[in-house]
Amino acid sequence: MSSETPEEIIETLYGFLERFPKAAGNLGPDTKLADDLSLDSVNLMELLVEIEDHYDIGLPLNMMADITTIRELAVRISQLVEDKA
Amino acid sequence: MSITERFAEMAQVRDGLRSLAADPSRIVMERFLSPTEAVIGNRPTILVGTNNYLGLTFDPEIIEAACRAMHEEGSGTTGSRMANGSFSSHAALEEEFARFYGVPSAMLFSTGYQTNLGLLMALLRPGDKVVLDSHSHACIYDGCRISGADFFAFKHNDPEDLRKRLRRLGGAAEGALVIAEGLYSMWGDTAPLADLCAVAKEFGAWFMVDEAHSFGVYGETGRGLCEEEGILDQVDFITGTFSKSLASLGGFCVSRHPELQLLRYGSRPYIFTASSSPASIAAAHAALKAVRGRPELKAQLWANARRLHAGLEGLGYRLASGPSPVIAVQVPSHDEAARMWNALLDQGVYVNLVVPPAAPEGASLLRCSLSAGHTFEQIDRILAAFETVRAGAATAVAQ
Repeated sequence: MSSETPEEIIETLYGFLERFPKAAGNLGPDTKLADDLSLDSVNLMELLVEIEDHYDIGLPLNMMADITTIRELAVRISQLVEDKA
Repeated sequence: MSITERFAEMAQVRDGLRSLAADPSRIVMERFLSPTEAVIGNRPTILVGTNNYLGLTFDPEIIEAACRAMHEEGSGTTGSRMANGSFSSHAALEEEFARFYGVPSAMLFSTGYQTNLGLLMALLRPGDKVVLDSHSHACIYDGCRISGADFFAFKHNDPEDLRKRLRRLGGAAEGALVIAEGLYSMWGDTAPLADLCAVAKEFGAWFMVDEAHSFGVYGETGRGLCEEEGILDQVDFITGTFSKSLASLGGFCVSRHPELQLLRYGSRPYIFTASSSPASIAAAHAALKAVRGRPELKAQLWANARRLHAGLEGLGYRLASGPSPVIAVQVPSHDEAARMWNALLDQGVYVNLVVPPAAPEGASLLRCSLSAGHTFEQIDRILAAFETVRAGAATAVAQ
């Protein structure tokens, strides 16, 4: 997992996000998690828990205040994976 | 973004509820007939959504104590305890809580929400680590968020998942704060507190429990689920509210650490808020005596809870958890939940309609909260209403 680039992480995130109703045909690096996919606070928390387990990292919930798009989330995950290594 | 857009967001929430024909502003209790019955929309309605667990809101001794305090100490405190002074009744109630729990420290706050906010804002700073149950109440999330600490969720009621997340914190797990609740207010399930506490201690973390819905309801003497699980001497901070079993308004925190008292100098929601009114303090104090001295209330509450739980199960409803003072009926869709909620009101039964994100994990719930003040006859009328509502449903929610 640690070798994934942000672009590869974006692809992985699409897999986590595709179950949400507004995801179909709406997933791109600049897709906004809250505004475009209508993810509420509970959806976001569940998503983070899944991502944490997938990459074996800790993603603080407060971090989401600074993250709007799928790309921004992927970059943050990449940093945390790198820090862990 | 602008304030105009904020208004639009809130209007969208309101319109969403109205589209379900389930605007909570419809619920106005015009006149009370008893602790468990009020007139709503000109109709006598059984209240099964009030958190009045011990049914004490109309207890004559409690009302008398509140009235006496109002006559002797006035209608309000007009300021905060740090800026404008404490009343002796504040200190007396804190001493009573400390005695009840056998701890050196107790502090009062003006509401239950502010209790958790006040504790977390005082204890945490940016960079600190918190691991909390994913079903935690909004005030716990808000306290963590405002503090600037890094907070992580563990899977609801899952000690192994807590262990995994603490392990990921590495050295920072030591000194982290783990937070759980006793009875979860939406699903009505209880936490495996002894197991969670053991995991927290294994990593050298602090352990905090919110007993807002479990105080007065669990434990041999009513001190909550920590008492029932035998971990009172291990939990670092226990919080609770006056607005449920204690039939008043306010909140408390107790701790085995005498340093809790230092929060008076560092908790902004304590320092910068008016203290609880004399009537609220007196009512809570009198209700606390009832918790200690009238165990029959708890027994009646549990008898009512078991009767409603068994009855709903017998009707084929899917319930979120085992018997407890909170019984949540799971409904497949928001629309169906709203239809049933309205139909129950038409039958003279008020329950809580809970839709996401207030209800965890995408569920829609019809939440019933029992009271020691309910009679078996009322429980049976509630069950009859649920039976009628189900019979009228196009899509039954039977298991």
